[in-house]
Parts: sequence; C-alpha cells; structure tokens
Amino acid sequence: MNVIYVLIPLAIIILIAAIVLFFWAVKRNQFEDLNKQGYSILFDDDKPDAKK
Amino acid sequence: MAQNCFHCSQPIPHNVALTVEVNQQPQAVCCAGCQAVANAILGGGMSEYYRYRDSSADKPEISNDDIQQDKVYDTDSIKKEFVWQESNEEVADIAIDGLHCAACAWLIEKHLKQQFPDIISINVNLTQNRAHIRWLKDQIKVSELFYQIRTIGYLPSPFKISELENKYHQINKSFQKQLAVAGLFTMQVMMFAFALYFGIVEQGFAEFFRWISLILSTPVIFYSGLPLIHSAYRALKNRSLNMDVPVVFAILGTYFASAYATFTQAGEVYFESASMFVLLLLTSRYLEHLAKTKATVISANMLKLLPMVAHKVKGENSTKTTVVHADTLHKGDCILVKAGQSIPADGYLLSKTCQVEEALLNGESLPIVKNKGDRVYAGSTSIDQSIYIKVSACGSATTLAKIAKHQETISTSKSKLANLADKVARQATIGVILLSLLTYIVWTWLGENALWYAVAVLVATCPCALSLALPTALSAASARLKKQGILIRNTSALENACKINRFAFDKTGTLTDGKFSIESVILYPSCNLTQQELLNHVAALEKPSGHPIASAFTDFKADIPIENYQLLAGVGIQATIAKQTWQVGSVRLVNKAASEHLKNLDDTQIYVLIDGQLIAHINVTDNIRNRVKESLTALDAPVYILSGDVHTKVKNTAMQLNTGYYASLTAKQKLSILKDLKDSQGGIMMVGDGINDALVLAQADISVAMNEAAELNKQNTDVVLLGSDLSKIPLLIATSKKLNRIVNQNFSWSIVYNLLALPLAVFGILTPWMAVIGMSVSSLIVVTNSMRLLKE
Repeated sequence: MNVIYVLIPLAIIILIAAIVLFFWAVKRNQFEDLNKQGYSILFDDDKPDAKK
Repeated sequence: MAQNCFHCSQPIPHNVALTVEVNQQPQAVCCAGCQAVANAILGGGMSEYYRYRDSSADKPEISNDDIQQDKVYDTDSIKKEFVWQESNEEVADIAIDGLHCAACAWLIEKHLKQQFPDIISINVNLTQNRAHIRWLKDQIKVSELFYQIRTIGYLPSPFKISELENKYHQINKSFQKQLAVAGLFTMQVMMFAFALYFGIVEQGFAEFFRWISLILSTPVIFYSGLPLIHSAYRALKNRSLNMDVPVVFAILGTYFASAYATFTQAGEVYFESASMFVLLLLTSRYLEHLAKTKATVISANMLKLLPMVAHKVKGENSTKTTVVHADTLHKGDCILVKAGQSIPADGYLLSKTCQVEEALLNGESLPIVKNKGDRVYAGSTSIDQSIYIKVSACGSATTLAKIAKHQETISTSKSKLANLADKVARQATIGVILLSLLTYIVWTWLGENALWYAVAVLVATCPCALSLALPTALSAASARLKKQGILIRNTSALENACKINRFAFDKTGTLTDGKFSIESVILYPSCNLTQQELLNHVAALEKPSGHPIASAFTDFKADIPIENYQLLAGVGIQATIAKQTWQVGSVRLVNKAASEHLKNLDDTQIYVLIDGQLIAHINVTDNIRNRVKESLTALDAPVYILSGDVHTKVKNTAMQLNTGYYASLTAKQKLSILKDLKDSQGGIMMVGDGINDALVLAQADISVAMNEAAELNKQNTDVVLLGSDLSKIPLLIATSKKLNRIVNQNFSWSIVYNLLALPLAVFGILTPWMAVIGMSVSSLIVVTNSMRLLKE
C-alpha cells in the first residue's frame, strides 16, 4: 500500500499539469467562441500547397 | 420548374440564366451578385463552405459606392478610431453582417488569409458577429480588407469594443480558470473524503489523506472562492449583508476548523464540504455572468449603425470635402451626404428637397419627402440624391442614440418576483447568521464542540435553493426558446407573458412582409392598352426606382426601353416611352393633373398618366405574411393593429386578419393608444419594429421585435423573434405558463427544505457533510426541475 505515497503526489502533479494547460488555453482565447470550434474539424483539410 | 439559387437559395427569376461551375457541374444562380460571390468562393478552393453550411447565404449586394466609401477608412484620422497599433502590427475588430454559421466564419478566415499573406492572425467570432484581425503594419489597407470581405458576400463595418465589454471579457476568463481549478481539485478532495468517511483506509493513511485534502482544497477556497469572498467583503465593508456573507462564513469556518483539526490531529475534517460549496456557487455565478455578457455584446454591436465617417464641406454647394470622424462634428458644421448613404448626424436640410428613408427610426419602409429646413435624423438614409446638411447634434446627442439610451434604462428594471425572491433571501440570510450564532452559543454552553453545529446550520439553512429557484428556471426557459428562434432580452417578460390578455401589432414589416402585390387594375376609357401591356410598361418605369412599391412589379417583363427617367420627389416617376411622357405615382400626381372625377383617393393606389392624361390606376396591397392568421387565432385574445400607415391600407389588413385597428398614427398617438388599451384592459404585448416604435414598444408590458426589424431596435425590446414567424408568440406564452408553474414548484420545495433542515441542524442531528449534501441535493432538485423547461 505504500505505493500510494508515490501515486497520489503523481496524480496531483498530473492535475497541476492539466490546470496549467487549461490556463494556457484560456489565455489563448480558445473558449471565446464555442459554436465555431466544433466545426473546425470538418474544414481542416488544407491542401498541402496552402500550407506555409 | 422553379429552381433555387445555388448561393443564396432564393428562387431564380425565369428570365435569368446564370450558372457557376461546381465540380464540373453547372449550378444555377439567381443574379450576377451571387454568381460573382460563388465564383470567388469556389475559385479560392473553398467549396466545402457549401457542403457544411447549415443555412444559406444572404443575397449579396456589392455596390461600387460602398467600395468607394470604404476608402475613407484608410484615412489616418478615421483609421485610428478602430485600428490599434501594437509594435509593428495593426489590430482591428470588424463587425460583419450576414454571418450565419460556422461555415461562414471559416470562409472569411480562409479567404482573407489567402488574399493577404501579411495577415498574422484572424479570428471570426460567431457569437459576436465580429472578426478580430491582426496584420503587419502598413502592409494591408483597411479598404482592401473590406473589399475582400464584400467579394464573398458579407457586409463589413468598423467596430470599436467598449470598455464594459473588455471588462466582462476579463472576468469571463478568470471565471473559466477559477471553475477549472475548483472542479478538478474538488473531485480529488471528494475522492479522499469518500475514503475517509467510510473508513476504508488504514489508520496510517488517514492522516496523509487529511494533509493532502488540506493542500488540495486550499486553492479552491482562496483562488476559486475569490469572487465569493470579495463580494462578502464588499457587503460587510458597506455594513450590509448579502447572500455571500453566511456562505463565506461557512466556507472559511469549515476550512479553518478542518485545517486546525489536521494540525492537531484531532476532530473531524470537512474539506470536501467547503470545496463542493465553492464549486456549486461558482458555477451558478458563471452562468449568470454569461447571460450578462451576451447582453452587452448585443448592445455594443449597435454602435456600428451610426456611420463613423462624415464628409465635411465648407458650405453649401462646395464640392471639396474633408473626411472627419462623425463624433468630431460641431453644431453648425455643414456636411455632404451622398445618395444611398446614411446620415451621420442630426441636422437641418440645406438642399432644396430630398427623399429619406427613416425605417430605422420609425420602421415605415416608405421614404419621406424632406424640404429645405426640415430636420433630418442620424441613421436615416438619403435615397434619391446627394444632400447638404447643417449639423445640429452628433454622436451620443443624436435622436437615435437618445432613444437607444432611453430604452436601456427601461429594460434594466427587475421583475417583481425576482425582487421578492431577493428580499426573502436577504432576510433569510440575516436569520441564518443569527441562528447559527445562537446555535454556537447554546451548544458551547452545553459543553459540546459547537463549531460543527453552527457550520451545519449555516450550510443547511443557506437559502441557496431559494436563490436558484428563479434564475435557473429563467435561463432554461430562455435557452429552450432560443432553439426555437425566440431571444429573451428581458427575463421578466418571460415571467409575465402568460398574464398578457391583449396584443398590439405594428403592420408594416410585422404582419406584412413590407412587399407589395397588385390587387386590381382599373383601366379608364382613355386607355388603349391591355392590362398586361400596361403593367409591363409600369414595371419598366418602376424598375430603376428603389421604392418599395416597385416590389409589386418585379414579376413583370420590364424590357420596354425608357428614356429621360426622372424621379419626382415624393410623387412618383416620370419617363418617356415611345415619345409619350409617362407618369406613375401617388394621388398627388393626379392633383397636379387636375382630375376631378375621382373618389376615394388614397395612397394604396398608383396612378398612371400619359402626357398628363389619367389612363389607369392600380391598387396595391401589402402582402400579409404566411401563417399570420393562424397565429393570431391561436393567441385567443383581442388583437389590435397600430399603424402609421394610411387608413384604407390598415383597414384592409385588419379586415383580412379579423382584428381591431388604429391607423395613420404618429409615434405619440401610438403611445397614448397603447396606454389607453393598457389602462383599461390589463397586460398588453406589442409586436413591432423600428425605432420610433421602440418607444411605443417600451410602453407595452412586453415588447417583441421581429428579426427583420432595424438592428438597433432588436436589442431594446424584451423579446426578439428570429425569422418572421408569428406562430412563435403562442409558443412564447405557453412556455411562460410552464415557467411559472416550475418556478412555483421550485419556491415551494426550497422553502419546505429550509424549514425542515433548520430544526435538524440546530439540534445537532445534521453534521456538516450531511448539511452540504442536503443543501446540494435541494439545489440539484431545483436545477433539475428547471431543466425540465429545456425539454419539448
């Protein structure tokens, strides 16, 4: 059972990573317009030459 | 076979044979505009737009005038009003009309990126109908950006974000972060609490779990709980109480007592109760905030209605114009407004005569004749010619801005029920605090650890369910109606809609679609043409005019060549066909021709004269919208038409729809009639459009605007109907009835719960975790009950 002393802190670190990621997403305005993003997968078939 | 346009899905007129090529297949389009736009889209390799859009595009209107006009946005003084400089980049927000779905947003983003490699980023926000564009400084002209947006069929206009909106935006972001922290950490804390409560961990781990819980709940309380703590602190500082005060007491009390228990390794810990409490409360705050934000976004978009730019001239007849920002005009300045442009400021007409359309101000689609010295208003459009205006007021002093502001103050007042709920909750709060103090004192006196009893009282009797009862039901009902195309702007309207027992409708644009059709044609003996020939001639004459009446003639072949075409301001049209002078127009034309044997002269008739001799008159009527009659019958209450239109026209419509009517009303008369109807007959709902109507609408108990109504008005009424389907009104009322039923259930339940929980908590039967669960479950029941409104 002593493994719990490792697992729980590990879980907390992952948790903190998730929160950092979320904060980053909020900062980049990713939650501004939730209607549009759902469709983005449909459109994302840029032709290779359209890429930079 | 009638076919619909590939681009805008409108029926294609039979004399049009235009196509675009889609995947090597020709597809028919209805006009050159649609063809150009579709070709621009397809040529850019963006055909997916047509595959994924969920509603068809608006019919594009690209005019060279607009494109010319966009050039002024390149002027530095104008540009600095809406384009920001950031090091070597420029940023602008552009409001875009005609956005319907995610496909539109994608299309604009992709098209602009293709056209301008210097664009650093572009983001089209669908909820706000705006594009946020960032580009390399001096590499792109604003007018070119606008031009490209126009080529794919959307209407751009410059836009300035308001302070308030910026602030809301910031708050919104911090809410999102706080919610994420609260949600994720509370889950962890609850997991540990579960293990602790049910004793499924060995003794040695229990202490470790407590410490972990302490660490994990700290950010929830002091980061996520910040808005609550702030609000309670502000209330206490102002020596008043709000709902947050007992809540914050309970949260902090629970947290510190649990922390103390962890340090001393004795007693109970309730970290999960505190965290859960924060999470639940924060969620409801966030939802409330979202609703508020939406309202400000809508009102901010209205700013774009007033033209930003004015063409200032030295004096009348001077042709040298300087482009200035409309807000910087002064009283007495002279400005030039070209035909088709909207007037940027209030003022007096210096030119001899002109026709202006004031649909934005009074909702009536027919242009009005103004003579020298008459007042013209910002937001109206000069239809037939360029005019000179002496400015009397600009910016926020214009009539348009004033009406909009006036409206705002009207719609912010809270409903009676919401006020009552607030009051009860406030008093309950005082009671809760006193009661928990009392509990604490008595239990301490009895020699027990009184803190948990006091916390249990604070939590269990917190009037949370009570305060959720109304807002959750309202937001669920609004969400449901939104799906049906009914936008609720003032929630008290939704509460009260079921009490309405009278309805008043504006006519033009509401009951009718603003278009006209021919009812009958009467040929006088002097006429030697057949009816069909006559109509073809008239159609040819009407074709170049932008007058709404012309819409009655669009079905006819208008291919007869005309010469010397001339608008007779406020009277009609004159032109030469086959060396004969034709005149088509209103009754004033006939007066000029001094004809006496006519009876029942009025504006619903169009008179046709050749060389000054009357040969025919044509009766036109407004087209009544589809399904209006059924909808009005479904209302099952008296309906009145209040219209500024001429008597016979209104009477006609009223007869067809079997309603009461009042005709030829000015805005003031409409207002007083509405007041009379209201005083004598109780609740009244007014459905209409236009800004002049807006004041009348505000006077009604509930005001409803149609989507096609002037944009500005949209954000001032209680309710907006998207699309022109009046059958939504009975639906609105049915939902309102259901809402009231559910709100009553919610109130009864939460009051019963609080009364039941109170003695249990006071006598120490409830521990804090039971209290939190009890509180949460009762809130949950209220929320779930409200959610029933979302279902069909």
